[in-house]
Amino acid sequence: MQRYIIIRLLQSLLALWVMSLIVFGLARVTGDPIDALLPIEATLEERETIRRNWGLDKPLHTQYLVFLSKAVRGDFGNSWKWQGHTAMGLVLARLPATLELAGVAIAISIVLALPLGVLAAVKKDTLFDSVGKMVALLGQSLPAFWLGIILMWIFAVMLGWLPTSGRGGISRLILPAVSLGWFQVAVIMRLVRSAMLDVLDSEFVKLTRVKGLSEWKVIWKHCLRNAAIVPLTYFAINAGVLMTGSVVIENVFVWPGTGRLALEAIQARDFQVVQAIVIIFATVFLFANLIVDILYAYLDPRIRYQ
Amino acid sequence: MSETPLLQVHHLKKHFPVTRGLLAMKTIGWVKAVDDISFSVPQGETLALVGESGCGKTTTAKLILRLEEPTDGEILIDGQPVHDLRGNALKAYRTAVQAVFQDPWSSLNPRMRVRQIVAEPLVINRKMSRAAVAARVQEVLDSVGLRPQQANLYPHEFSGGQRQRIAVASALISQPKLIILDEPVSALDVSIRAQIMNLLVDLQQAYHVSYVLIAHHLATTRYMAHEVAVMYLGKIVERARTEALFTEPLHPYTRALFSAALPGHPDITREEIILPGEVPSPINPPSGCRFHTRCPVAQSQCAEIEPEETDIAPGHMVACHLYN
Amino acid sequence: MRQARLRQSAGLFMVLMLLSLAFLGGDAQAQTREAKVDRLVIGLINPFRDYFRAWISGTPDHNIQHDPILEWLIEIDPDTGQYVPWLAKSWEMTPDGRLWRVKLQEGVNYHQDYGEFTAKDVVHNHALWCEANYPGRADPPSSAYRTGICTVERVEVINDYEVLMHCKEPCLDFEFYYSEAANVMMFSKAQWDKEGEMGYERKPAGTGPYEFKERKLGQSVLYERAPTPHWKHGVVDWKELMMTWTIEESTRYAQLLAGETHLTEVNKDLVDQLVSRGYKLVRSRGTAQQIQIVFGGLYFGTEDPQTGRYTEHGGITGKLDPSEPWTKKKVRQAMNKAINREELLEVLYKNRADYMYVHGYYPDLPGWDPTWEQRFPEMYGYDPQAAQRLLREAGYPNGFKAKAWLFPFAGAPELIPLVEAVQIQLLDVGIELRLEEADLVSTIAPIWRARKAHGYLAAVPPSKKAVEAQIAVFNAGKAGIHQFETDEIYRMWEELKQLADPTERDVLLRKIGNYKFENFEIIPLFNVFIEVVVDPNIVDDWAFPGWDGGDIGHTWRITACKQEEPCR
Repeated sequence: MQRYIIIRLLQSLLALWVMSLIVFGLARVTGDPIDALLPIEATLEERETIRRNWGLDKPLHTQYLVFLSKAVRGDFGNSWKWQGHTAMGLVLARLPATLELAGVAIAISIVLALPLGVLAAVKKDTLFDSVGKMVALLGQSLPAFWLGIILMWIFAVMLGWLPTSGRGGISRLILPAVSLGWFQVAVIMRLVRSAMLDVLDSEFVKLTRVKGLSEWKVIWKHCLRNAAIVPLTYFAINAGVLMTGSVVIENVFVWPGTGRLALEAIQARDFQVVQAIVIIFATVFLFANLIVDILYAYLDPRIRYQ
Repeated sequence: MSETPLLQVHHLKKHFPVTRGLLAMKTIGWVKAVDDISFSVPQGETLALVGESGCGKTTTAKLILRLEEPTDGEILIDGQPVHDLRGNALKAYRTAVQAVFQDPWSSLNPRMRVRQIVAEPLVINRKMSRAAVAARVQEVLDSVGLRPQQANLYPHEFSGGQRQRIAVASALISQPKLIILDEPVSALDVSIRAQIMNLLVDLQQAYHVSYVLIAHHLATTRYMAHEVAVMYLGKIVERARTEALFTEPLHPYTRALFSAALPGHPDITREEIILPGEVPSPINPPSGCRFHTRCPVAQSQCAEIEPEETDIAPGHMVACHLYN
Repeated sequence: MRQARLRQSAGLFMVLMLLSLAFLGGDAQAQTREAKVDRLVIGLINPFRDYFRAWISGTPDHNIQHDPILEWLIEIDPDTGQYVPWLAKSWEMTPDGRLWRVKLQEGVNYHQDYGEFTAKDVVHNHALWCEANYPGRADPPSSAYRTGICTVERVEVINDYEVLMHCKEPCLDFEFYYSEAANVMMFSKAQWDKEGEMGYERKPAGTGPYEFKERKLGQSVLYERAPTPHWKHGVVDWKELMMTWTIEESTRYAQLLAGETHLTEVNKDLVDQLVSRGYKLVRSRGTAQQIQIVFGGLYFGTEDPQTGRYTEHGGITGKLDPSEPWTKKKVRQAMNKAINREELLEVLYKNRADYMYVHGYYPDLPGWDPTWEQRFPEMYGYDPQAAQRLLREAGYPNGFKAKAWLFPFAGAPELIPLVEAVQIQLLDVGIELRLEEADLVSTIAPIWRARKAHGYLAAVPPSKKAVEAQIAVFNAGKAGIHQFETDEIYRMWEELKQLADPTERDVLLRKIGNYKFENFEIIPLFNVFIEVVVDPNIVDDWAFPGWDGGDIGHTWRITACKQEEPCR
């Protein structure tokens, strides 16, 4: 088990290093960063000064080494757009907001999708199942951003029950988390349903019924635990999506998270911040995958002793 | 023996609806999986149900286990109708009737340790102290030939034969009166089969437990069963004590089955009766005697009139116009 | 007889009515009710920069963040558009145009007990901009206006309330660069000495009617009314002022409707919807931006390293491509005459803009020529047949093909449908325009800068600034756009920089303006106002000139609606 974890860790670090190369290269490939840093009317002299100050006049590999040596210590330089803040400082300041949003969205989606998926599987081919399928279809085809605006319109403008935007307190968390989690509900529900159907058919489940276990216990205690591995896999892939897909939701709801930070940084070509964000995202993504892999081993003893 | 048979099945029927439609289901036909069968099993004996796949033997097992509800007829355990039981009576039933299924690889929960799997029937149906449960687990593992240290392991760490032993242990722990064995050895290596069969016979002798054995491998049947019932398309076509059936099979279908089985010795030659065609669909069983479409000795009345179950000799029943 | 008495009683009745009205009115005025909400929330679009230290980079497009708390030397009066005293009580130029004597307001105190605003603060703020190695300042100053600001070479202190601004060459636009139209706001020297540069970010102390309270990065800035009445504005209407930034249009809309903001910027199409829902449109008193279409490739000037003419950005020798159709004046005129400005005005601007005539020239700024308005219809006005005739004369009887860039511009989303409409109008006279989507920063700006924009049209919205600054930036190669460069214009601009006499300057500016006008420098379209929508229940009015640095300012002129009925 330990060996397994160590190998996975090393793999993650390798992936992270490759990410740093890509990120570094991209920021410089899409045009001269100076163009984005200064207004159109800046003079040539000013451009040269800025170029020197930011070390952009040095050869590319020198720049990369400088970048890497600092990055390893968590120093991604200073932000251009948000003067007086370091790039990493900005990202870390906004990260809790995104994690909060993603976390609540996941929680909502699990709380809704799990029972729905289980019920859809148990009541297969009934009206409930058909309704469930339709809900799933809607969930996957409605764009989150559109849903967000509609929900905002209904609940904040027309009904006045919730605030439109911003962060602070539970009332502001509801609309963006639901908009973000909606798609997840649909997907997880379908995954749980099909995983459950698989397990429900197993011999040992039939045996458990024979042994006298009540149907509900059969479903929740035996089936779900075995079916859980499928949505878990999905989460690993999804961690990344939730972090970055929330860009749209964060924008609509003016949620001060890393998604919005990324958008603004990209528009302003604040490449220090963009680098920091991408590396952080990559780290979170890799970390989430690592956790899931470890959980796999815990959940399914067969994987443990490979 | 004049005591009540442990298991009695009277005119049992199970018809599955065939539905069509996306949102609203419409029934367009019925699969007559089990269509009026009757038999009984005394305490301490084994009845084997044999037949090709699709003949309804597995469905019969499920009906006895209350995994399905019968469309008609009844099943009695110790004279009690099984399908009305609720509450404590139901729990008692679950304790009394257990099962061992065919596939050793999927019949054990991969996430549970062996001791948990084996203990489950006790834990669910009875209030016993942990120590008492643990003691029983050790006992029953011992009786199936497993060591106590193995109790903490996971199913995937055992071989197929060992897993079936675990399944048997789990079926035994509640001291059942009846165990349904659904092809318990067919998924095992030939060399292991004998071991498991021996184990089952030993356990029967030790604990006086009844078995309903579902099998399509006739050698197993001959070794383990006291009585054999042959099923075809949801009906029992012949039922007799094992030796009587094996020495003198009467029904044309039984004969064909036996002729298809490999002889015990390579030197024994037999004439193989090859049945034409395939087993018809249970949705539309043939009229009259269900077997008439493939029967080598079918007469004209076989297509029109269903043969009745007749006792040719005491304890030997046949449903065939040849013997009416 | 009877009639006379009737008239008498009528007259008496009238007098009584008037008296009672005056009495009642006076009574109403005597009431000083508070604003209906404690905190005014302003919904803006996109914070250009999220920090206060204005000298670091950028145009003054984000002056609004400074506006409640900091003050400038010179104010632009919203109603007249003229420069009026602010922290500078008076200013006087010497005849040679190289020296301004500025007298400062007395008794103005900084927040947070940082003492009185005096000459030392003026020196400090000038140095922040212009001194190369000012101690304590981390980043070097950079901005389009820096050259103009630092034409003032040295600030000499006469006494606490009087300074002399010495310019290295005639600096007639001093007023512009030290007004709220540019970005030399008066930070506190005392705070700098005590807290260092970052004190200006943590909690900047200013002299304005509001004090800085809190910034939530990327979300909002909160200001609160200063504890003592302001030296100039007395007690302002709101206890607290909050600015929020929301890029997403529909969210800003929802915020206003839900009452979370009381005043918001919206794009033009939503303005009408909001007005029909009962909200009130308030616009800048004067126009704030010009909308024009630029011809790429008008590089007529000759480089001269000796005089430094057009030597920035790699020089221009040989960059002109005479085969490009619109290098011919007749073609430029033809294209102008193919544009139906009336239609564009009605559809895109809902008739809420004015026509513009010459880039960089405004009626209230020097150099304005009133005859342009009369001459415009004949020279530039919509006449497709004349356009086709001109094209024929220029040698393009069947028109020609060209390209135009499409790019989003924050705050002016109508530029894209504008170019699309122009494409159709030009097609009517045989000019086929191919539209290319491109990114302003990474694609277009470098091409402009390298003087390689031949064959590309682009719609740009330059903001209002001092006329000389416009010419320097757009015609004299001092920045990256190179809109229309000729030796003639450069020579005139060089001459302009040496003039000290305002009257002479005005004459020369007008001459330059006419040169641009008669040479069909661009396709001039509109002068637009900055529009905001307010909740008339909460807000009565907002008087702002529209050129607070290309942004909105004068936040202390947001007046509260203090009557029961919404203030229409």
